[in-house]
Amino acid sequence: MPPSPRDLALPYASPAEKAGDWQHLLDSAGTLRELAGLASVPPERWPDDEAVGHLRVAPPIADETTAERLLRWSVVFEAELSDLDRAVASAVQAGGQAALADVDLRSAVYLAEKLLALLYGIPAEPAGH
Amino acid sequence: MSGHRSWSEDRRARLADPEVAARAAAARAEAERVEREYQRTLSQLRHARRLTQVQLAAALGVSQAQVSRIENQADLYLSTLRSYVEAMGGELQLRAVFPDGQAALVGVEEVLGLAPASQDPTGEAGQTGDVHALFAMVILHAGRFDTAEERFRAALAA
Repeated sequence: MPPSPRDLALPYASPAEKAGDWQHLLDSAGTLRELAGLASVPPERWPDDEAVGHLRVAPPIADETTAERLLRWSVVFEAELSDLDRAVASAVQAGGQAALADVDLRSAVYLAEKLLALLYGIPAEPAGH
Repeated sequence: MSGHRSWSEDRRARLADPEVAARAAAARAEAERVEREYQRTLSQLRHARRLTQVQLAAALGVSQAQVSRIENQADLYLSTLRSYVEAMGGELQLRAVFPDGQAALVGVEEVLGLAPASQDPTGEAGQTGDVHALFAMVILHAGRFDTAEERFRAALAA
């Protein structure tokens, strides 16, 4: 069954849950920023970290290389990556999670997860959501 | 009145000169270019992008009435103008032009960094005006992401 979006309009049950999602968004946004930046870097110069590790084991599509996959991803989702990055940066400047409505944060987390999942070739919906 | 030529006759006679005609055509093209680049109102830009006020309102996370107000406002805040342009898929650029012909792009982000976020002319977004507009775009992307897999694979096929 294809992954379906969570109920993005669902309010958070507690401040702790919202804080957890905010931290998750910050982590995901950082990973997305790193990966999008690596699209223009030769693969031999990629860092040996977790984000790249997941990318290297992504199931191949046709005979596409990992670098080609990353470049295609960064081009196809350029608008999403750019808008998400700017939105998160703006939220940080505005004071973090308190500046965000629940639907804003849930949507941003959902979008970040989907972007990563497509690149990594894994289901987008994490367990527990 | 013998020998008198009307304005239109005079114009036709002048344009018969290929050099004059070429200069006139170039001037007309330049005028049209300036018109296209500098004289469009926000609503004309929106029409050119084939967007309705309702669609733009959804992208901005504001009401259709607010979009109408923005389009008819005499003195917009830069942050509002940037959000409006970006909601149409564009990028706002500022250019300073001086009488001696020198011109330079002014960093929009830098300027906005100096401006308090509370200067939102709509008065509804408050201190998180830009955040609200940006996350409206995020919500829009999230809502449309169900076809992302197809888009991703289609790019490979292409």
